[in-house]
Amino acid sequence: MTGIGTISTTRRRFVAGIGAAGVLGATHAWLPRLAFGQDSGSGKTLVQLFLRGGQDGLSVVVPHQEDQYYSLRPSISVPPSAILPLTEQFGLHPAMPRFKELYDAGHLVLVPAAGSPDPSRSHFDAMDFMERGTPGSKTEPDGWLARHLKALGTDTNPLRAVGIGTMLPATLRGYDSAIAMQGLESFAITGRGFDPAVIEATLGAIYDSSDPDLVEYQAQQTLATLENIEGAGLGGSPAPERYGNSDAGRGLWEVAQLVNADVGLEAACVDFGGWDLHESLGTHQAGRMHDQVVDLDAAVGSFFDDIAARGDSVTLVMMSEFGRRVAENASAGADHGHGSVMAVLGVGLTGGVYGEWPGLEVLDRGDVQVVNDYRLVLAEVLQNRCASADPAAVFPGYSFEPGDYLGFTT
Amino acid sequence: MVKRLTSGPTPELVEHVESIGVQAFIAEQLDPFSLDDAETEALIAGFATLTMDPAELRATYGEARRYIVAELTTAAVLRATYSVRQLYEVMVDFWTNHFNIYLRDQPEFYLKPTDDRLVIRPNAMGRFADLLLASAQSPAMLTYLDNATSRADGEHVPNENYAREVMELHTVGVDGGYDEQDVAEAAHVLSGWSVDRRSGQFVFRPDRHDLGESLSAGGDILGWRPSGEGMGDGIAFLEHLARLPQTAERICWKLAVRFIGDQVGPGDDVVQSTASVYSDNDTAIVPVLEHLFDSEEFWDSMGAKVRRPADLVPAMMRALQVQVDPTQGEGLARDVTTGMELLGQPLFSWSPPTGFPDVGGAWMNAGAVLTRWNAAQMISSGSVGAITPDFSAVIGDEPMETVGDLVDRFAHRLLFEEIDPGDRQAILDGLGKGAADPLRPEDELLYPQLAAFVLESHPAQVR
Repeated sequence: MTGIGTISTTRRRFVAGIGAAGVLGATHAWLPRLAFGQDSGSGKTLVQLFLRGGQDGLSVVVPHQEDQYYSLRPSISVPPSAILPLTEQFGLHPAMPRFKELYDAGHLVLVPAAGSPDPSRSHFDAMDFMERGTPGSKTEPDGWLARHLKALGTDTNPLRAVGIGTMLPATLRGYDSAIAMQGLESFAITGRGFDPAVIEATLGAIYDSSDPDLVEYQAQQTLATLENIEGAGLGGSPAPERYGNSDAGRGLWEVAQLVNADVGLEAACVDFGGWDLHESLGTHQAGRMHDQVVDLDAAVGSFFDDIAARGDSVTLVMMSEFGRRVAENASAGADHGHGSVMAVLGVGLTGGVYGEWPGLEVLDRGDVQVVNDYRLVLAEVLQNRCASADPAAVFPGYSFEPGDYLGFTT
Repeated sequence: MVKRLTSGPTPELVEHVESIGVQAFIAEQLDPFSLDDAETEALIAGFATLTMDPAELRATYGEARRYIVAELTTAAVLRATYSVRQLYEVMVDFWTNHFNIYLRDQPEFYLKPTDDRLVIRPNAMGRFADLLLASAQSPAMLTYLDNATSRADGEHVPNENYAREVMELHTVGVDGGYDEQDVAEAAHVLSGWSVDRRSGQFVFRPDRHDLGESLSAGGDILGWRPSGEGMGDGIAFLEHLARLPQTAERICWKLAVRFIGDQVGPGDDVVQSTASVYSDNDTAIVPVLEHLFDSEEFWDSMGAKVRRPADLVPAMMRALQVQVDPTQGEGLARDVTTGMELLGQPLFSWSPPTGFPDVGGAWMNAGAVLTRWNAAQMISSGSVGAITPDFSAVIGDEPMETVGDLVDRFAHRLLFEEIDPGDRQAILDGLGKGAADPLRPEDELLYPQLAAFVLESHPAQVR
């Protein structure tokens, strides 16, 4: 709490809230929820780490038995002697010791040759389809995670769904109570010479309607969020060094704080760009890909350390809009491709490398085939980790049976 | 009405409208080039990228995407703020989104300034058919939607991206009556519409053009048949699309959503009657707007639209009578561009071809509201380097006696409506003042926060 103004605002709006609920009943969705904790939520948190720009899965989960991998990539492959071994077929990039440790401990699921079946190699199309959850179709207006949240319940807790950034990711589009925030530290009133607590209290008195329209509702959600963050003692602080200096590190740090503050977080989206390595991808010891995976390893590893005590209630999924061409190009990089690697991380999973592996002898226009639909991976996570009763409804147009699941949640 | 047609009222503008009358003001705004806008153009004259051709931009700026985007963004915001052609700038924004081009990479960011200067701005209040044709020959558009590399010769299958979007988004709409086969055929019609890589100019390449089997055998797309004239077929096809009733309905519906409200549906009477005006006037935009502004629905809908960040920033700058220093061009461009990014509407950076959404729900979430409030704090307190509020202009010359008068004056001159009594009391409490407190010279110190409170309130979020 930052001052008297804040406390009085909280009380006043709390009382107003009860009044409104009494009059309007439970059907009134425009009512900010003030309670802390998980009393009405699912108690499950799903975190999406989206690797924007097209991550080269072959550099992360290296198919070191494939001759094609080495013959088509004379200067940018990871040599067999350097990999961190996973299975007979696959090894991790050597700069990912935390991933290796999580894999060995059984918390990490890796699915190579995964992705969206739509053939688009355009970043925006591929991301758009993936985030809608309807590859090839743009008729569904909402993102897949928004559909999941809506199906799960009508809880309007303002910290139920958070996208780290200035705009909501398309994955959460259509879920009205989702928040875009850059971080807890910046989620605060900027006073500029005036007391933020007084500004907050004044805005609380301005936006105090018990019959809110859209603007009024979102303003009340904002104030409730500020209060929840203050109430949970979440002043926010910069990501510790161990998270690394990347958007993944900064974003996952914010998510870990929210998870541990018990504010009812059920969905979070973090973006990590920089994977569009058309040129100078580098070697396994140095260069742009090396630096990217170092950041990824630090961010994901530290996130796991911070949420491990929450048990199986937290699941992280990691994906990218597509992988990259198997053959390196003339600029020692790799162009837009198709299949990439998906990862799922959490306590209680049965770690391992999952899914079919089509090999690199038969390619899809020069790219790794997508034989493991990302929706099947997500559906298994939603059903068995995130309390979803009907994951098929989250992915309209996609037919699957629970029997098709890869089985990493059992 | 002024809030709808412009980026927001100012005392000067309100006085002007009161003196010449509402109808005369609308007529004036519908004839933008009769208004002299030299002062605004002088403000942005220092932005060199706006007038360079693509080859010059490439040679001068190399990979400096950010620089070009910043100048385009800032010019758009300054024109929306200061232009006397207020409605015209609203329409430029409307068509910039309708024909959205994402400047993700080169060459798009070398090509967009030309698209802005030669496609969107000259045609924004002309005929839609002309605008569509100009856009179809815009190197930025042809590159963004992959038509530039499309070829139908030999074994090549033409790229369908532009052909699809020109029907789905630019003209008839997804339910406009075409099917996948029509998309493939339209891609044939438009094959060869390309860009000369060196100059960045439009070029038609007959060697990449082929009508394809079905059209050559007498097939049609939405009732149109080619006559085998190469590029002439593409022109005739686009002219046909522009005049179809589905296009009339879709364009008029989007305009109604812009000027009336989010809830307007394509089948509504006001859309249908406007669509007939569109068709009766051979796709001319001015009569369409005239009809919309004459409708009951328009006059009944005031205050119903959420201001997008692109509406909010110019509105706040106008309300605060902000002065900008054109010699500080670079700092100004940085501040404006960063501000639009933080507010979630980085202009010219919306990746899908749909353009930024024009409905309130897309712009209102708890994080977005906080950013809007903080933007009001920043701009009112003079914390944005190149942007300074002019509070003496806000207050005007009329005498005031109490702090209550001061609050009323700010509310009136920033919002141009009566302040809600509850909001008035909340603001007085926030300032630690009573309404009857006599006004003292040191109360000047209250101006920035008073302005911020008013600009954070509900009426400032809508138009």
